[in-house]
Amino acid sequence: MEEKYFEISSENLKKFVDGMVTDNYEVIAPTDKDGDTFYGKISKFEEANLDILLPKMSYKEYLLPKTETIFEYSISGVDTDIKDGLQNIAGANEKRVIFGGRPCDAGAGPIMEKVFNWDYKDEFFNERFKNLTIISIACEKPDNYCFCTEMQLSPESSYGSDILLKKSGDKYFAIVTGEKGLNLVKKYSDLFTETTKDKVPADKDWKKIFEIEKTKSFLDKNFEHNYFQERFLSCIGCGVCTYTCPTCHCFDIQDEGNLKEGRRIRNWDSCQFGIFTLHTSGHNPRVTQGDRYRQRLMHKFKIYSEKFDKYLCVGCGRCSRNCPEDIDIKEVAKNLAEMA
Amino acid sequence: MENIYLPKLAEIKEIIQETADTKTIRLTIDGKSIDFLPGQFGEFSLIGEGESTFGFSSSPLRKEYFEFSFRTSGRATTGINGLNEGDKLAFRGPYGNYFDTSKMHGKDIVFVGGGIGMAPVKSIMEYCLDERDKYGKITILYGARTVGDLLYKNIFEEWKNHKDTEFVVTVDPGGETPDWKGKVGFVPTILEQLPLKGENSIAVVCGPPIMIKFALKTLEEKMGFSKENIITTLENRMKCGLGKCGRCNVGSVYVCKDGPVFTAKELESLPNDF
Repeated sequence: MEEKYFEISSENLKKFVDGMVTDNYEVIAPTDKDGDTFYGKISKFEEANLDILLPKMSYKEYLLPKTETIFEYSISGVDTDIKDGLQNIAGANEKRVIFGGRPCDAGAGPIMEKVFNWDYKDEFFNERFKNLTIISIACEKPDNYCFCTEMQLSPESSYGSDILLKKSGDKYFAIVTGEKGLNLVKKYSDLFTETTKDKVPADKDWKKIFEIEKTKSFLDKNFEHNYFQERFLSCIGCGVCTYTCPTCHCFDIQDEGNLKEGRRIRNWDSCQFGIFTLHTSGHNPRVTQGDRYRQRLMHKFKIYSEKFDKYLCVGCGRCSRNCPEDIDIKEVAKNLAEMA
Repeated sequence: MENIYLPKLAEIKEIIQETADTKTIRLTIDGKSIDFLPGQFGEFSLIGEGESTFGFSSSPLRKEYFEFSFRTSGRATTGINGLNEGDKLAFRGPYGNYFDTSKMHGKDIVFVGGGIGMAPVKSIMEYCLDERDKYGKITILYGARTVGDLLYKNIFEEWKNHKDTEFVVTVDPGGETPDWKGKVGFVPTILEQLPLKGENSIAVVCGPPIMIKFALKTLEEKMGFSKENIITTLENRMKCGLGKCGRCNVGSVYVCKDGPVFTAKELESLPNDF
């Protein structure tokens, strides 16, 4: 579908969100909780915090939950009963909407979709992704940790959003990228006015401070470079970078329960933990934190792009903002580009 | 809609106690083996104790069962170790690439296995022995730390008795018993003493990293095997086996999908990440 363009007043935007809530949509938006802001279910427009640049966590968990039941089992004697987790995916609900997220977070969905669909198809991810409608709001003031522009997106990118809202005075322009977004607009058509592309304010000229292709070309040739071991000596391996990352998707599979009943689950995991790659023999291919952070950089800026033609990073900067050692991935990627 | 992580239930037909801590388990699904190729692997589990990754150790041509060998070392393998014949074991697979036997036809082959690394070697080796006429001379070199650590002792005779097939078994110095009839020496050392030439030959090598390193050196530098004709398998920790969980990669190569079978030539281009 070709992009379509609409206008909606601030007043109508409130009616739009409240209307969805009334019509039993599960509306997930940045909302304040425990002194911070997270994506969470809201029951009215006012609960959404649209002033904050980025919530603490991305909304990755709505595509790839922290814990997912692969199957449940019950065993008695020689009988093993297995209940396929796909038959009852929690939250794969056609009426689930992410409202007020940012273009960086929206970019993560179609990027992760690739790894979950090469060859073997992960229907847990697909069911959730297919049923999620994403309404993002363009950023006006990215902060110093942001680098979406370097990551082939921009603060005004509509990539991955079903509807991108761009604020303009007391109204918003809505760029509708596909059927999912258009269906919602049609459902609340009295709140939207169709317009044309030329009426939508042009994107600002967002400047890049480095070229990610140069970062990749450094990584292509310098696996053994001292930079990795030296720069990441300070890394404490807490894994917060991977947990807060919208695109980090590495997972573990564990059994929870006993030999009579329980479930097999898929949990978020982190390449920053030593046990992630530890062999039974005691051998570990990635011994130091330098080895592990290098893996994270390699996966994001080299390996993924070679396999799937997309970098595994949207430049949201969460890993840097949340790092207890202030390791700034934007600085790191820039350093690498400069050394290329 | 298919759940790619959902296992099938296999029945345990036979358990062979190989050594004090290793066993071979023969399985069937619907009363027979499954379709797989030598070099491939699967995820095996006693449900409730978690999955482990093992390569197949049987020849795919033996249709009455498929088997794997394992050492009891953690929670999942302790669970499997406690099972009896007739019990159920959860399985998913086969996954990964395989040894391409069509490239081995008409050639001399040397199989080199160290320790439990003999398991994947056994699969491709027995596959070749099952169709013995398609290959030239076959040499089998198998080594373990001690006599007590040798797997598959009950079928050594079967291997030896194929025509034009030489079987050499060795244990590390100090690992021999008073009545030991085989060789004493590390695998690469014994390999050097064998009358092998790289010409029109293929080498299949599996074992601990240190053994692979020196065996490859011997094959290449002393015997003239080309890197393309030396084939090995990599083992890295895996969870999904499907190229998604993100831990088994060596550089840009995913061991679970691009491997586990690699030529020495392919290994050469990989970073030191395994």
